[in-house]
Amino acid sequence: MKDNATVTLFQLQEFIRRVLALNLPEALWVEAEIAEVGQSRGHSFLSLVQKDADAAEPVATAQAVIWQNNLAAISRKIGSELLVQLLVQGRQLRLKARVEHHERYGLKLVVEDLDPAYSIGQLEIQRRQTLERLHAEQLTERNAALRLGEVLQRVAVISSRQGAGYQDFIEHLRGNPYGYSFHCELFPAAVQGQTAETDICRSLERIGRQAHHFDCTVIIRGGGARLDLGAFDGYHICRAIAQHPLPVFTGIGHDVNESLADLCAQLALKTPTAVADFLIRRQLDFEGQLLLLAQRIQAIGKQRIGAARLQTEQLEQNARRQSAAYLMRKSQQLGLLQRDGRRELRNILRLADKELDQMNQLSVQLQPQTTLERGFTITLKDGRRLRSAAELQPGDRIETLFPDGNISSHIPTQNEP
Amino acid sequence: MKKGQFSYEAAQQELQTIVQQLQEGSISMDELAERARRAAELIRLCRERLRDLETELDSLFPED
Repeated sequence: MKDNATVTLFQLQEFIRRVLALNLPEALWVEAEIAEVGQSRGHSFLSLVQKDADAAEPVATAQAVIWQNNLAAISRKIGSELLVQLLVQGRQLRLKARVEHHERYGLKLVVEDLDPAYSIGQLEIQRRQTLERLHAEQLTERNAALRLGEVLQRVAVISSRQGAGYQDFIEHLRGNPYGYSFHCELFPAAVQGQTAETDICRSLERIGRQAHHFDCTVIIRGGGARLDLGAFDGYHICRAIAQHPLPVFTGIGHDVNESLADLCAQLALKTPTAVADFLIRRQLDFEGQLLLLAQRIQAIGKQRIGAARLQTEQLEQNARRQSAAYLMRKSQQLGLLQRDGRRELRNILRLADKELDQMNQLSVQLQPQTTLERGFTITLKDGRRLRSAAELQPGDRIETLFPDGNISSHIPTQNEP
Repeated sequence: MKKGQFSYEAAQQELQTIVQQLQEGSISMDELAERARRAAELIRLCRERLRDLETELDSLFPED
């Protein structure tokens, strides 16, 4: 073409097509990320991008298509399930494509094959980077450090309503053989696919705002393939779990590897039923502790009562013994007293006796008869003893008492001879 | 403990205190029966709540 030559648009596009066909005759392996994906009449249409780590805008974009026949061939090779999981927004792909250029539609990559190992590897790399970041921000231990209540009865559940995992979980809790009751409130979220991470983060946030209504949060889903769990390796979901005010339990699949969400949770369990079992077990343990406490209280109570009874019996025995001893002592004292008393009494009596004797002797001595026998007489006048001659006058009659009889006599008057 | 303010932890704590007091012998014989009654009541309450959904709903929507 000459410098000033003008070509039609068609000529230009045709020229580009020929250049491309000449320079890129064979299909080649290309690394790219899926920005958008769509299905139409059995074909898959992909918008591919390449992003640099720091740049907000992609550094390259291209449209690609996997025709129906190629899709079928790839599906046969890697399995339809994996294929579905590969063809999602955000997925890093290594794809084998021919570069085609159409005069009307422009450049298009026609995909002939996919490399699933690359995508899985890319996920692993991302996962490792996310893990490093979580460690660096100390998010992996945060939820695990939350204090766990003794009984986890009010449960906020994040799951998809229709999912088998949620049904299993609820039925398992309801069917517990101990009759424990649980209050579960579902916060619906997609647990796989594109919206899973944002859905789950949003639900965590909602629960967090009413955390005082719940004892714990569980995130559950039935089993799934490795790529399907991609959402649970996302940084945002991990951070939301780590910063959640309630302890978070995960039961998000049977996969051998733990997801990063598992790492950030209070406790990761394999399945929804395992989470349910854990909650039931916790109540069982608590009730067991209660019964143990009851037994101890009963045992100690009995022991105390036994001890008190023994003490009472001892006191009683002691009192009996003491009172018996007291009585004995008193009676001994009384005996002594009695003996002393008797002796005293005898002495008194003896003394009295002696005194009496003496008095008797004295009285004997003093008796008139005694006086008479000793040779004295007693003179009476009118029956009264005379003590003096002056008591007598002439003419008086007197009586003189002798021991052997009385003699009457007469005091003569002066004119008597 | 008022309805709606029930706490398993508080109940357990109180029970442990009772056990401790019993062990230490700091509860007199006169108080023994009363404390044992309280313990039995707490245990009954806990066990009932472990099984009774209504009480949980009460605690979700406490009547102040």
